Amino acid sequence: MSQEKLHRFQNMFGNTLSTPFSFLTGEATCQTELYDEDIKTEVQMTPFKNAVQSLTVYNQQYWYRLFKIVQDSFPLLNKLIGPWQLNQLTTSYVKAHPSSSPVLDTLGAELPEYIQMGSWTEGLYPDAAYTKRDLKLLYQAAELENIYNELLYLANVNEMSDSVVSGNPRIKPQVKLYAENWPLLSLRNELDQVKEGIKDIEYKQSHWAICKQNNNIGFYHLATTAYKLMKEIIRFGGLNEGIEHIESVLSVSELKEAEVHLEQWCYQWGKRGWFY
Amino acid sequence: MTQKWKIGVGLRVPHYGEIFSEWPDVDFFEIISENYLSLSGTPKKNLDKALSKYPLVMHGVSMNLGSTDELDTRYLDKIKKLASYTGAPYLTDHLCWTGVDGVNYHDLLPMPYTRKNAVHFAEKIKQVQDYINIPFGIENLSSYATFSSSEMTEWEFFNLVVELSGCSYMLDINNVYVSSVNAGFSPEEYLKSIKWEKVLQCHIAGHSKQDDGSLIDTHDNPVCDEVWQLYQKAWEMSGGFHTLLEWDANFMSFKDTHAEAQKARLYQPEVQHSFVPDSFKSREVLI
Repeated sequence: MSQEKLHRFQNMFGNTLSTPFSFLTGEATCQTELYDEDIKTEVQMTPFKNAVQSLTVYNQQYWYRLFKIVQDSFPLLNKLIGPWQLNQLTTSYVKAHPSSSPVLDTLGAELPEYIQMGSWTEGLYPDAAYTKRDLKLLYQAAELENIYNELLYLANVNEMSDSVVSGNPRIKPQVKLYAENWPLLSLRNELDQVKEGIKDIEYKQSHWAICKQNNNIGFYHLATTAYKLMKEIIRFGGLNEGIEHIESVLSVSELKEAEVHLEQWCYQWGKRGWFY
Repeated sequence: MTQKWKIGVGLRVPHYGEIFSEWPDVDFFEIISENYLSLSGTPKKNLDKALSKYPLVMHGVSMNLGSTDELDTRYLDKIKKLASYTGAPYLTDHLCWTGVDGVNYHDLLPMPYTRKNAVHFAEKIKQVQDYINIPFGIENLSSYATFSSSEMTEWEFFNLVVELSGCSYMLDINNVYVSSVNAGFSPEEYLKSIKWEKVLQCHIAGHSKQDDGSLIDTHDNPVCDEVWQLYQKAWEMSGGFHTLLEWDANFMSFKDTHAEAQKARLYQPEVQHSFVPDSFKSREVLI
């Protein structure tokens, strides 16, 4: 088998094993009629299976593995829309963003943006009729879970005995900012009590800094103005630069609030070990 | 008395609590390399804990050696750093491809057993060995398909790759059994063909039987009698090897998992062999 033939074989086999399931009957079923005809000829009959049945093993293993990793990586999303809808979302997402990483854990890195685009909702079975508001809520839930997933690989932020705000400090990269319009963070922390469905979740805006301390995830509620200031400090690479640019993103009342509280906020952030 | 041939268990997250609080007496652990590639955050903390008490060996699933894609050098860099960090005496991956044209299918996929494909594998393995600089072993798959363009048996292909590349075997005895049932060949004939002096380590695991009688390599069950019998035959043919139990789903306590691995001692008859394995030095590190 030449390199060219091997390449063609791998393409045929890969396309076949990644053939999406059909969800249209209310069950996830292999679409064996879409399997590559040439690979069906190449695969031999075994004592137990014909070619299509053998290929089905790989087709099922592929999707079940990906479904599981997305369900495990996005447990809140899984609770909110249920595994049936999430598996359909995963199918659509993976076809649009096939994995190129040797590490499976990063599979969902672009899922929040994909959710927000909304094209995955076309053809959902049964029709879930997600509104623009629903997509934004699901986007924020996925974004929150990606923060959790990212923090797994980041170092602890160590609290300081005293605040360190010397020179022009920066915010440590392991401090993640998160803005939500629904109480998703508290739902994420009480997963066992979350019921499927997103229509009844009431609007409640809040801002958070999330980081890892002593190997646990820590959440710090931020005033809106403090959140905006931190965002500018991160965006422009330092406290001084953040303050310089803050006028363009704050209202007059927020500016006054920032003037009053800036020193106190910086003291707190430094004490929590967020600066370096 | 310290046993010459060690018995290890795959290091898995659900067992961390038990292992890192009770520090059971385990000969060695095998890590899935990809789970620690970042060498950062929580995975690194847990790796450090394991390294503080146990020897580790590295087993990978993403080297993609059979693919027509070039080797992923960024991945290999990370593997090399991890090997250096853990001090692993050897590194293993699979006789398979996992993706093509940059797409990773995250599965261990088979290919036709042809001479050209064996040469292709061997060239890739040589590149890995030159780069990684620690002994490298290649593991046989559990296979669910055979191909009309194959020119030889699975074991002839496996042996040819090992011979052409100069690498070692990471022989999975459960995989031999699963493939033998699925494809209808003799597992004993497979084992007879193995050059035992080049075996770094053997895997054992449980599998699942499907309604049609075929087997799937699920690593979620105890090792079945047939696999233990095959293990004993391998032991008689070889004179000994390090053994590793893989358990990846439907977890039981670590104590019970370790006890399952220790059953291997029941199937290790005392056998005298005159040969000195080629890879003895690298294997000695565990001893």
